[in-house]
Amino acid sequence: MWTRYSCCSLWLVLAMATVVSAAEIALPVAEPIVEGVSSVSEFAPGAPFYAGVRWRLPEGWHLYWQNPGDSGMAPQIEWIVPSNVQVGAVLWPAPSRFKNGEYATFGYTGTVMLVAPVIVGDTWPSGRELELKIATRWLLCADTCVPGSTQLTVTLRCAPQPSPSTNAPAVYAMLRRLPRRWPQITASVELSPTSAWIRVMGLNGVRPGYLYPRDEGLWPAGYDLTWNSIGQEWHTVVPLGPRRPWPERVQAVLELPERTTAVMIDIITNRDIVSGRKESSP
Amino acid sequence: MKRQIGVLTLLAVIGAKLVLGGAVPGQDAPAFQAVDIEGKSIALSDFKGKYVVLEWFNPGCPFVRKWYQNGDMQKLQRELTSQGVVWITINSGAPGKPGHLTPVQWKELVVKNNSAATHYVADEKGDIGRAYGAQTTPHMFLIGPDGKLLYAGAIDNKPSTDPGDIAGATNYVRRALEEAKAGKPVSVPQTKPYGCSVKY
Repeated sequence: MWTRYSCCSLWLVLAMATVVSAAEIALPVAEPIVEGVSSVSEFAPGAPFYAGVRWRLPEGWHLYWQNPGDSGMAPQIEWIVPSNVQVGAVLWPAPSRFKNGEYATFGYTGTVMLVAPVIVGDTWPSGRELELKIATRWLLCADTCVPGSTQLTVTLRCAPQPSPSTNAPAVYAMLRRLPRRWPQITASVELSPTSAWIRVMGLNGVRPGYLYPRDEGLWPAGYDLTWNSIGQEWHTVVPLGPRRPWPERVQAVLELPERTTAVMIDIITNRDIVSGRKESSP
Repeated sequence: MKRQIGVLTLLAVIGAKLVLGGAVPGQDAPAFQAVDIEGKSIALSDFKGKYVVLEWFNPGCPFVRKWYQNGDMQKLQRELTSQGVVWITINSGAPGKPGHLTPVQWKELVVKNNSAATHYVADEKGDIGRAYGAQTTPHMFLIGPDGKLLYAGAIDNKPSTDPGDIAGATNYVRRALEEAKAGKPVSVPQTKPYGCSVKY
């Protein structure tokens, strides 16, 4: 039922070679279906489109976000493309949080698509096919974890006008759900030796949900956030994780459960606890 | 002004709840007693005067396999124990959870893997793991001769499941030990560990 990739068999052979006991033999079957995807079947030089990888995960397994949380590993995507093709950064959908006792991880279940914007230079010879080679490595976890890797090739025809692929609706549906910046929402953090006090402004009464920092190790993923509203602001305090020093600017995804959406925010570090605070008018 | 006081009170109230479990570098390493897989009773205090490495272990985890399949972890164990370091490998997997081993299974695995730790401890209730805040396999701790924690975190700076990444990586445990033995402060006393979750 699941597509198997030859590159994974080598790993399985290596894994089997070290098997000695009943406890080790139970290698789980976690073969996701992995495909290359593109928003176009025909591209036009100079017209940006989206391409990347889609995983269809077996039930009960999850793939990780760019910050995996307390354990796990983010999927990696490497592009091998002709020199006059530019590929942007991967666009990460908002993650979910998987709580496991005192710890938690961030990631995705079901069907996961990670795409990046691609643009082919104007000098591309008309009629020449484009081959996008994508090498990807990932870790899939349920109770146990299984790494995987594959190389995918997305082949696209060149045309004067781009035409959408059969995957275009799924790609655009995912893009519409990406966490966006809301210009009125601002955030700051003040640090003590053991904790970080995070303030979010401009939510206009919308209650914040979980806050996912893009950087790893800032605060324990397993720590449940408690938000308190003070006037127009929302405040939470988190214990510091191992990461030192704290970055000047932390990019984070803030869930807004009441709006069933998530927003991208920048949390600016306020180094001066008392005099540096600005009183915002309500 | 009133608002400011309110905020500070809030911070104090919330701050009071921010007591996290786990071992903190610079502080006393949490004491523990255990029976190893050979049936020998050990306590951390037995090793006062020596450096102690704690390694969190789960045989099924791909990050642990990365370190064992080509003998890299075993080599590190031999390198450090030959310098007098006490190396304790701990499995905090609960019975019935993936990677849990009975003493008999674990002894077989030690032989098969040619492991070279000083002691192997099945922490089935997870007490030692929780006291240290062990969150991944592997998760590494280095304790100094005075019983203070010198290092807590990842084994190295290449979070991956690929054994090919080991050679080019900075091993945080080895470096912390070298620095401590040279009388220097440990330059990186804490990192975010990488690996599979501990199956408490």
